[in-house]
Amino acid sequence: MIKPLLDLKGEALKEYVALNILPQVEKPLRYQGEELNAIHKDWDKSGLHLAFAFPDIYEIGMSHLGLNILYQQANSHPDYLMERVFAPWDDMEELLREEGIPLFSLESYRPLKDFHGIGITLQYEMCYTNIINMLDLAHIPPKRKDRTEDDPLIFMGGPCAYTPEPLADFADFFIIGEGEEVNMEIYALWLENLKQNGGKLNRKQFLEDLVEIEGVYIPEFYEAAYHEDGRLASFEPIHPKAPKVIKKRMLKSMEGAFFPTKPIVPYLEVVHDRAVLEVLRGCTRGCRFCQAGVLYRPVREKSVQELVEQALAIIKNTGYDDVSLSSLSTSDHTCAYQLLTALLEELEKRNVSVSLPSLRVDNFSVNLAQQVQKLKRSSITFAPEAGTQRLRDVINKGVTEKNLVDVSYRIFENGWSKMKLYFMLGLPTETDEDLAGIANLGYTVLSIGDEVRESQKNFLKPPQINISVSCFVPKPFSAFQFEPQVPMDELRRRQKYLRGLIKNKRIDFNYHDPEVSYLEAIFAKGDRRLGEVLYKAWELGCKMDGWSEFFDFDAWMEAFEDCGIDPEFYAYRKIDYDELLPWDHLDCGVRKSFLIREHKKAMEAKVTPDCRFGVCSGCGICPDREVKLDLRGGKPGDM
Amino acid sequence: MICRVKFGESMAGKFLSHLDMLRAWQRAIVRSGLNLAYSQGFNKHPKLSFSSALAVGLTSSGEYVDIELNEELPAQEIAERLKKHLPPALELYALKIVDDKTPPVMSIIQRAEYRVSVKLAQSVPLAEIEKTIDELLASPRLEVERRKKNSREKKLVDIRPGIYQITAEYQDELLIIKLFLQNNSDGNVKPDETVGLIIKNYPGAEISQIHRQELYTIKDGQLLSPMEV
Repeated sequence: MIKPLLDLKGEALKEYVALNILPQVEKPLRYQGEELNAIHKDWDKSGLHLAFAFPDIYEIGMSHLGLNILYQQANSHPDYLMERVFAPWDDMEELLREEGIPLFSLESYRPLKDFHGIGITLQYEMCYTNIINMLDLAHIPPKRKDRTEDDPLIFMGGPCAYTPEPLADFADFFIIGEGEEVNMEIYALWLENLKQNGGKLNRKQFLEDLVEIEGVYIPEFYEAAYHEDGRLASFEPIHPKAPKVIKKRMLKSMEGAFFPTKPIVPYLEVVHDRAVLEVLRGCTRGCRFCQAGVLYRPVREKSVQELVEQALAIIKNTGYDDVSLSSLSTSDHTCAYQLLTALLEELEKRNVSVSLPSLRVDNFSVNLAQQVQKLKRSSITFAPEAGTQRLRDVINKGVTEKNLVDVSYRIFENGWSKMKLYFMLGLPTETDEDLAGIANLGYTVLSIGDEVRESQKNFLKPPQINISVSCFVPKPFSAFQFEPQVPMDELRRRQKYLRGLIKNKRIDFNYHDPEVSYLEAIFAKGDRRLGEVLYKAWELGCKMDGWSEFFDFDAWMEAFEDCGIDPEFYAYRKIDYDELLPWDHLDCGVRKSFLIREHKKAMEAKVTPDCRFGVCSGCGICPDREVKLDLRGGKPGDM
Repeated sequence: MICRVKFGESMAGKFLSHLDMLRAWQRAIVRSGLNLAYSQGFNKHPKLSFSSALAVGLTSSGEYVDIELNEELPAQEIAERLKKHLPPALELYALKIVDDKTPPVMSIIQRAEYRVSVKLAQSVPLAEIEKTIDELLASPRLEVERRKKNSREKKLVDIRPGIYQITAEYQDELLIIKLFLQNNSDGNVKPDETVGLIIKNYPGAEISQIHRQELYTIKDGQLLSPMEV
């Protein structure tokens, strides 16, 4: 039985929740707010009220740099108010539903329905059902067609907004690309519309104006038609002002770009409980499985001086004792060594450490790691991704066995005892020989560790290798977008085969069931018809699909069946180069012809060098979008 | 130099775990620019020593922390800087500089004073509640069930020796029970389990809030605030 809606908001709701609800949930701090540097604005003095919704739990969302950037940026403007909301864990959800309390924002404890807009960040496919669930919890109809002029506008951005079609039924508009510039343009237009209409949005007029902003995709302005075999036949604008192709937005330079030096400091320990400094954006290493490496081109670095200033400001404003240097590939910053030296000089005397998230397999990266981990030598992680040179050439991962051998010696000689190695299973052209290569690499690295330990008279801890193998998901906007995913049964056979090859107790072998990867593949390549499946899955109880305790594969398959949609069509089909794709109307700056060329080269196991080393690989973004690589030093890896 | 600080955890702070609070203090000190001392060695940790951990869900106006600094500054300046940088959940009441050889605050705490707010389903005359309390205090043993450490098994514990005083009063509709309970290395008596023994006689009665009023040390048989040592 559902109680009638509890009509409380603001301080009254906050008190009610603190006394009656929070004592009953496992982690009350997820819903409390009042963290240091959280921004509490005057509701009545702000003309535009926005909620930033993160469709996963607090600890995940608060670890997300993008949230802090966009939240602080919006709130830096006197007329805009932005508050946060996260997906509640099921203990909280149950209480909210029981008591009839609509989902509220953390800052002012207002129901989401009170806001003009709800911005949702799309970080991964497995959070889509949480979006529907959050809207439902907020008493907002999840489907656009069921909403009225009194409901907030629902807009979405983030990496998965490049493949938005499965969410087209739910969003009013999508923002394609980097948000820093375009968001502020959108908010200005929004506020103007509100002002002209006495505080109530004229939605029709707003969308008519909004469509002119580059980077905005309004799904209701387009119509899709399909061939009998299920492939997309056409995707056309049905509004005279809607562009045929929507270009992504990006910053031309990171220099002076808005960066939050006063981020929120959670009370609760979150996943990344430290200061995060974005040192560069983009990566041109050109790994053929990598979507982000295409979406965030070109490479734009921040200057050492700006980074040091920002790091110091963040420490001063937060009190964190660790700064993480974040990017797709931090050791590739052309001034990485200078940056680290300058940062450590300032931070060590403040007892602040620096951490590097992931490292390339080369000596330069090990030098950097050595610099930052002077005392703690716990474990170090590398991602060779594939087990043989042939397959690493196919995926254009510029790592050789010699690199890994050299690096392993350096690692163990310098006191690390634990090494983690990440690989992907089910890459295009993969054979059992490539799987054996993964096991062999594990053994090679372990024997290097033993050799080093012996030469140092067993002073060190015995080496330990951890091999983690994920299931490959072919992603749109990568060279492998044309590839089918390896079917689940075959992935399981390969996992078992590899498992059988690793028999040393000091090599730990981790892998996951391929069911989640299968769904990721389906939704990554999905079209509009999947909106029905999403909604059905949610009706069948799917939510928090990224959490193994909630993930219910059978319910998902039931949803596909109920909707009469074949999931294998999306995940297991080889795509022709000339096929019209459900993301072809979105232009990430890199040409499809480049992806086709890269795919052909992959099949011939031919590598393409990183354009930062001199030869342009012809992805098209620099001439087409009048941008260029923005590097601060010579080449990546220079000292 | 060691500073002893008396502080409180407001409503915003009541859901902080001990570890959350420790992190919040450490960060506030770093923000304030005070030169916090760290232990030397493999895993450096800040030299902060707290009085007994406050359970999650409780508010408090009597928490203590000893902070070791690598610099000499007047107490007032330190207090002002900390006040400015503490997050909304924590509030600084007093700060004094103590001798470097002063035993850490954690080691001297003996008693805790609590104020427990109870919502009664129907009103009960104060005299009747006082009679229940007197009967309780007259029992030679008071057993409560506790879970064994790292186990699902339960055991019975006699808390009577750790109960020193219980009084009750009404504040409007709310029944306020004040308790002085043992809080030291030999063990703690918990306010909720003690009050539970009282209110189990009144169906529908429930605890609405527990507030730790103060922590005490004992000197010459007298209860003393850790700030007065």
